[in-house]
Amino acid sequence: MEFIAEDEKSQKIKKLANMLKELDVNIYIYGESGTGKTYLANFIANQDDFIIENFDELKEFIKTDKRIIGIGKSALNENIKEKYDITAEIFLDNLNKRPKDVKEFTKYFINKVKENLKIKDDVEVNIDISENLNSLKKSIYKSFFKEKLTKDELIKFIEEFFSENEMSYDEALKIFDKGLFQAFMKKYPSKLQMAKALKINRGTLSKKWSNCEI
Amino acid sequence: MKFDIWIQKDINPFVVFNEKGKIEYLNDEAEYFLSFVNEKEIFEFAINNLKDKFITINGDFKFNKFEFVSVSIGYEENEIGIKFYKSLLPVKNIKTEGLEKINLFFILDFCRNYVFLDKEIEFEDLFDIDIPEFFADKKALINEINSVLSKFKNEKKLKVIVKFMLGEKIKVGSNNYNVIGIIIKSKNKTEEILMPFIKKYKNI
Repeated sequence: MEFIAEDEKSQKIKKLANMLKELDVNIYIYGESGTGKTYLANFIANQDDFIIENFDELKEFIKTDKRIIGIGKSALNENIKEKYDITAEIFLDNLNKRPKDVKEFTKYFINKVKENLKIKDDVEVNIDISENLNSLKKSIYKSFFKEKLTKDELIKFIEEFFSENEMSYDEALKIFDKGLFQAFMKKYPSKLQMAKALKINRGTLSKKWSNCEI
Repeated sequence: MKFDIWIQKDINPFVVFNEKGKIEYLNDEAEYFLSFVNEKEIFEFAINNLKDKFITINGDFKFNKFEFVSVSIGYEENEIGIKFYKSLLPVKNIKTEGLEKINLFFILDFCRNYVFLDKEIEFEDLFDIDIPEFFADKKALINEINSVLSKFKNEKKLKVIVKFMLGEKIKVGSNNYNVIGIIIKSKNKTEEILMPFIKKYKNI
């Protein structure tokens, strides 16, 4: 797994991470959501290592012979560090302090979306890094979604969504219906007109509508 | 068995003077010792302390940077011999279990990158690159190096020396080991990290 590092400090962290692969000491990586902690942990981790999420919120002591790579949002106190024999702590800054990384992450996600959706053309993306990588990824998907997708591309998009989110058929239909109804709501002021456009019975529409919790 | 080599290679300095104070023989360690200390001073010390044909005196003896816990002086015909005994430095909390083979330069590089992650610092390295991998308590060593380096966080330039500390020994368990030192110097201060050079771990 690759760890994107274009800013100077990120490159230093990557250098450390490469050393930590070999050093086999317990590590703690912290920073706000979406700063790339899990990417970094996976980049460092060997097959036998134990990655523990929300490490700063653990209620009970975890005993393990494996090398620990803890991930959390806040710095650890000395007591916890000693308890888990943490040798190195790495802080990942928010993306707004890592402009070169943002550029590279944007490229990475655009390529990923294009690959997943089998889209060849580029689209203009409006990125949002208010929630770091979480919002960046979403904003790129949204940008692609705003462009006219072909049916096949939409199917690919749905395919990707469901490959990451397992659910029942009913739940899946609710998602589909909700999107569909919300789009038609903008065009048609009443449910009657909407039902006519969708060529379904008004009662059926109302029933499905309430199921979708719109 | 010829015993000459045992004297020649002894870690304690041994010197033989003639009656005029001229050196007749000295072993390897004494050669090193006398590069720091005047031989006349040692000859006079031997004469002044010689109370019998052969005598061993225990105490604290300091010459320049050298410290000894004992000295033996003896004479025969026109020659007077003197042998100093070094204090074996006791080092606290050196683990003798679970040691790992380490590359000191790799660990030092990691620690420098880790401690000075947010800072640009200029290093002048003087490394004895012939130091091979050896066994150590890796985590404790990393913590110690990090802790010492942290004391230099406000410096702009550091000189880092890694070398065998000639003439020094560290006792771990029942064995005595040569000493590897990391010496970190800035304009304002110097810190030293000493560790035993444990080449064969199973022998501990």
